[in-house]
Amino acid sequence: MSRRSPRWPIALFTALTLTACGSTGGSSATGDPNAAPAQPGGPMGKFAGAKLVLSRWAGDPWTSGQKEAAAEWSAATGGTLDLDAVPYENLHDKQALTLSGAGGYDILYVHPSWFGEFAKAGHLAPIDGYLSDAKRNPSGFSADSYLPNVLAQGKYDGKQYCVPDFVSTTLLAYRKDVFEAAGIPAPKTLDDVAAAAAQLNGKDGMAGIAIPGKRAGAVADIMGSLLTAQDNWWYGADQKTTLDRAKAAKAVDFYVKAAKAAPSGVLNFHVDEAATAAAQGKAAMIISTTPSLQALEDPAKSATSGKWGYAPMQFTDGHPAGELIYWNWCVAANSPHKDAAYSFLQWYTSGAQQAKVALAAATAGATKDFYTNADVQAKLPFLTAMNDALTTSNPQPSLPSWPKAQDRIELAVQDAIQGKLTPDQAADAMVQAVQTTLGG
Amino acid sequence: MRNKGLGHWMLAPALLLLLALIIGPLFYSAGLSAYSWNLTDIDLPKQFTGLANYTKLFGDPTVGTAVLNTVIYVVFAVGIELVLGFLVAAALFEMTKGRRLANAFILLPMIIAPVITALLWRYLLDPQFGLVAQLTGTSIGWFGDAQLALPALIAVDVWQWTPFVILILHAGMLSIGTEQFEAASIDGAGRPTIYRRIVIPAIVPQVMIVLLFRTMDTYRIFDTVFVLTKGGPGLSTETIGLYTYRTGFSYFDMGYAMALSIFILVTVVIISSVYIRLLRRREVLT
Repeated sequence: MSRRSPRWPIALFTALTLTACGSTGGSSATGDPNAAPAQPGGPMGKFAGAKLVLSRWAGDPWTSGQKEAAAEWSAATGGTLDLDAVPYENLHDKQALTLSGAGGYDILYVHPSWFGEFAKAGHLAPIDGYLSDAKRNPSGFSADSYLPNVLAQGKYDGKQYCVPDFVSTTLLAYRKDVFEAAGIPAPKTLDDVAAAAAQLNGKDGMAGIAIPGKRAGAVADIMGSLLTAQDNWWYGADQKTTLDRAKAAKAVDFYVKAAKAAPSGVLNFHVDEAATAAAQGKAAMIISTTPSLQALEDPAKSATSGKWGYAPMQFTDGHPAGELIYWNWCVAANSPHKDAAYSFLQWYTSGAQQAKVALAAATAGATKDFYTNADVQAKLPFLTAMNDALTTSNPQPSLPSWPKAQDRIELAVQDAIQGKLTPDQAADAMVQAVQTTLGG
Repeated sequence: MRNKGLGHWMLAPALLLLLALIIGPLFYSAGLSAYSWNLTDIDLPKQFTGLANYTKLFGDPTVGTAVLNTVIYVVFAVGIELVLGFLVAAALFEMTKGRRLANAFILLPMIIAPVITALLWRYLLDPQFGLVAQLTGTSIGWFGDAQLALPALIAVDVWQWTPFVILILHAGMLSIGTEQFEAASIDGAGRPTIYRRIVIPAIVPQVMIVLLFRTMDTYRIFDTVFVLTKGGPGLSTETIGLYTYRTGFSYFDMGYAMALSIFILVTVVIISSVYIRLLRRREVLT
């Protein structure tokens, strides 16, 4: 027996809220979608009268930064763009209910974990035509302007639906001054990292390496990078596990060695605690996610700014790896303003606009020119290493059932760090967890 | 003449509110616990699975660990709070000057939101930068050590909620008639005898109320654990409340989360019934 939940009250509430937000799904618009920007670097097209609504999660400085960008786009194109920003935990449901009801959104910020669901349901409009149409893009801008590995994540059944931003990955950072003083060359491989961590641990009151150990997501991110560095991944395209037991054990073995040289309390360290310890000179190295690494270079927060070198994680020299963490910008299939929506997304995800976001929020864009921007390089000196890591990266697992597997993977790593499991046993537990959750 | 019909109608608004806000959601939750329903697939219909979620619950090793952690947390937190609370309440009871000021200071932890309390203790006990680490010159990862994390969480609970125990027990002590103390003094009873024969028997109802409230509260502990350890390291601080949250809002397995919620509800009701029965027996005896 099955029963569908009554969704009409929520749908009604959502529709009323959107109406109150000023969305006029069928508003009339005039203009020229191919009009060149009035200012160099400005958005394409003129959309007088078009009223668009963008759905995203709420959180500053991103939301307020995007409001400013929306105002700039509105002034340049004549259209208006309102943001409907809701807490992340409500975003999927609100988008899903709105899209399956009367609609009301033109632009959607879609997490990888529900991108497939929306694309399959027909909620998203393909944008291949826009990306390949020279008249809809500034001179020289096309699909090739994006990092191919990142752009490919917005593809479903051979069609491009979304463009990415909010890119981050996992990286190694090391104190150049400490390594130099100790006469240790900059670490190239993870074996070098483990050896240097053991050698530097306890020197001058400093731990060898700070690394997240808390069961809060980052442990799985780093484990993912350690697997990618060995050309292995949790699961394949058929969503069956491809996890190699020996490679998982090698990854856990590295994690355990690193944790042994980590500051006290590492099992309760999330990325912020690890970054704080490193920034305050309590660790000679750190492995963490790039948004948290920005704290190392902020003179207001860091006692060690300017002293850090960055490198992608790699077991073999010349084979860098990372995990691809990103979000998708998509056009709603039932939007009456798809031209205007694409105009905003092309402009907002371009290198120049993403540089503004990066300078304010330390998250990275997904276009190639972003990674060569001198201002951004100065603010985020890990960009080159990040770009290297992204060349061989797997996206964060996006299956609905993944959170449970991730939790068990992190539990196995914690048990190995505590000595309750050997790396081999932890690898077995991971294989079992992924198989149980995903099948295969 | 009393109008019975009118009386019933006047009760109706309260009953309707009760039905809408408590009984309704309760039955809805109980109903959902008989379904398999994943929040990430809201377009898919729920599958009726009967008692499968409850069968799973009793075979789930994490539930066993979480319940054990919760019971340890309840027993030690409530036990320490009761002993400390009694001692401080007695000290306040003996004070002749400054009692109000002392009371005001003692109650401060209780009025802080649990999440703020957790953050406060997170910074106090930070192994690198915390006040305790700075003062003692040690670097103990209180919340990052599987042996220390649960005791540290209990200490945070004791810090925040002992004032509640003090408040209730002190009020109970103040309600004892002065003639009993005067009579005891005339009979030459010392302070230990007075406490053993007069004060403690007189405040038993307050003790039972404290036990009832604190047991119910600690059994459902979630906020401080979520902020401080997220159940780790490993499963060393996983409580049944946190596991229920994780099941519902991390794994999105709403049917099983509802079954866990009903399990918490039933166990809390059983524990509360025992306390209330003991309290009633005491009232009957006195």
